[in-house]
Amino acid sequence: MTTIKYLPALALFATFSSYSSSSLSEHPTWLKLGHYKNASAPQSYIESDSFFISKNGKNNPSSELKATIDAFNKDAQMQCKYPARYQWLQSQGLEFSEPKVECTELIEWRDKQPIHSVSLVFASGYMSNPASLYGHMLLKLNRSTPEHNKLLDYSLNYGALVPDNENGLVYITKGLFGGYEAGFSDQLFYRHQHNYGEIELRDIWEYKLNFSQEDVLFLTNHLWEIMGAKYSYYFADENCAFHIARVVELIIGEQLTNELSPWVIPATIFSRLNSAQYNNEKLVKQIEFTPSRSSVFHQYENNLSAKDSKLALAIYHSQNILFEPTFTNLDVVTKKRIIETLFEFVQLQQIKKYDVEHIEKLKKALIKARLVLPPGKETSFINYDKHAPHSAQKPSNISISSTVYKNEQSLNLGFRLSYFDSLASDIARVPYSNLEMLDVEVALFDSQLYLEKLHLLDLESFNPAYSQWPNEGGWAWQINVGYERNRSQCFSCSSTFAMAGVGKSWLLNANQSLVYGMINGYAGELQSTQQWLDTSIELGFLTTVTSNLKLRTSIEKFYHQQLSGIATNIELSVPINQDFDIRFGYKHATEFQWQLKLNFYWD
Amino acid sequence: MLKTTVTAVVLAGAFIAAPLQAKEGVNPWQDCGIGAMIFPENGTAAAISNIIWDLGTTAVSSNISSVGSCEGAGAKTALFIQQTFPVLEQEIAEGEGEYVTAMLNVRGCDASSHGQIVNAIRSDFATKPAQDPQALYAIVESKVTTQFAATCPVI
Repeated sequence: MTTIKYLPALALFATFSSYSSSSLSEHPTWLKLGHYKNASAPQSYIESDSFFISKNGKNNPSSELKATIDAFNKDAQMQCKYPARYQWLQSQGLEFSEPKVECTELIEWRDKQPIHSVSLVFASGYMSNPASLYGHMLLKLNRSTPEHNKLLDYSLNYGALVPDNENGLVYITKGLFGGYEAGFSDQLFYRHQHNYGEIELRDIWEYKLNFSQEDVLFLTNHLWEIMGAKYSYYFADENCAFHIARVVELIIGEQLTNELSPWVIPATIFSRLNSAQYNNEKLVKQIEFTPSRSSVFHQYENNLSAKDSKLALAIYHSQNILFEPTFTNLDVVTKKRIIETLFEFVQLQQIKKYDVEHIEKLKKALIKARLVLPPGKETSFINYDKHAPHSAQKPSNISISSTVYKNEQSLNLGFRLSYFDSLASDIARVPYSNLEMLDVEVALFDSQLYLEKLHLLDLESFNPAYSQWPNEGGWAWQINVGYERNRSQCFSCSSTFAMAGVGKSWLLNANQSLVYGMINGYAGELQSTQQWLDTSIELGFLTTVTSNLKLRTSIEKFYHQQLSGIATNIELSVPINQDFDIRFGYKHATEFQWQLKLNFYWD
Repeated sequence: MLKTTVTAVVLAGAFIAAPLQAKEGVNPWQDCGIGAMIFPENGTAAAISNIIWDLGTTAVSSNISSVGSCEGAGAKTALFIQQTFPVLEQEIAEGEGEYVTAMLNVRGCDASSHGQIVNAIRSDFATKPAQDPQALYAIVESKVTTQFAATCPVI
């Protein structure tokens, strides 16, 4: 950054000291302050004209710098609109003719309860809501003290501005291909913790960053500047994870984002965040976990003895027991534990709107019974058996495999955009689920290249009940759209299809195994059946054999595919480390097919 | 849905940036629009229209918002109660919790008095539990403006 082409113009407006020979307008920090893409393509991600002082500022960092310096020399109040620019230019040795002023509104927001640190927050994805598959990311400005808890911290959220009652198709189209404005908003953190943890039942991880007070001040000042600025929203790449990471990169440099990447997934940012260094130290100082209401309930429930659990269930069905000797004669600690567990369960039922009238009555009864006991909770947990998102398997995948079909052998190459399959490690994933997008495989057979598989979307959620309590678990379901060659039917058999299935699943073996049954419907060019529609019954079994070694088997009987009998699938996953695993696959319908595959996961 | 979200966020913005001042005689439910706000109770219900919700479609344009007469700690407490009522009910019954602590923080009550205030609210609950957020707000206000006025100054 040693070009001096802008220097003569700059010198008109300010007095330089230490940086008289450098071009500040190409400085990475200046480019980040203007949210410019990079020095070679100096176009800002920010669309609002009002964010820029110069008319050309959106596409011209140099012009914006000159205008900024000019503004600071002529109007002291501009310091209050652009406190980070002012702070940074001063740190670069610039002096301005206007004196420093006190910015009342900024100070009220920033310093009334001082912001002492910054965290990035990850709300885990969950399969019950397609909107939440990939998780969410937001920025938290920590102001908590021993007297004020973290629920009143500031949190910065990035998102699109979508008109009310937007048509679903328009919504998806604009979300994917552009058409929505986006921006940052601030809310007190309780809104997010409550929404994610209590309503959507998603675990939350908070990564506290190793920033100095000066860094925190600079970042906070910059957030003040960009509040209200409008961006263009793109779901795949210019989303919350990208723009929040770009804000953090104002301090740490470009360690989190890659402008060339066509997609940005929140978990990827956290993986990079955990590896990032700042001032020769790890960027992440501390990781905190906040369990969802659902995680809390399962922990509480496991903590009850079998006898107390049975009594709690009896109370669930008949709340009058709370006021009968069976319960009232218990010691205070046991009574508290049972009520606390029931409270957690009742909250879950309220969220799911199960048996509303019964639950309302039960909650009132629980409150009444609890109020006669001394204040203070009896059950609390610190250690949950949950892993932070950075330790999860990386979302994208390339693979190489050898496939044997009869006596033929092929070399297959694969690519998957995201995110995980049912045989992946459960770390930071929803267990017993599958979320794959754009999964492609090609095969080289006798010097001919064949498309073996193109799955646009492959979703599965087995949604089992993790306890014997009422209304736990739900329907198992799956959706798959794409193209697939069915060599186990015949060499040239293939299908272009959309399918959906629904069924139930049950956990076995201390939740280490699951059996399921589904009824599936297929539509499309189903060559092996010569039909456009088909249905099937599928039965399957998933199990964790040892550690992360997982096995999945299934059989599927189609209605129209009478000749091919039952289709059998077996796949075994042997993890090597976070980045690699080996898969053994076997398929059989009328013919058999073996596959040995090496997967490399990356982000 | 976005409109209600925006309303919620705009009101939440008042927590942050609006100058704190007492507003006597304000009923937050009637005067600040809290009663008309609809809060998401089940994320699944909004699954189709909110397909991209989670990579950020809930932001609004500005943080600096104040809502007329709803700038006082009372209105902010009312909003907090409206948004978190089911959890507050539970925590008050149990006598402690991070949401009830945050509620009293919002109301401006000194941390040293939180335990006593929660106990006082529990006593009222024992005879007549709050049936809805507005009823809980009334109980909280009656306590902090009389019995605990010294530790919960009007701000």
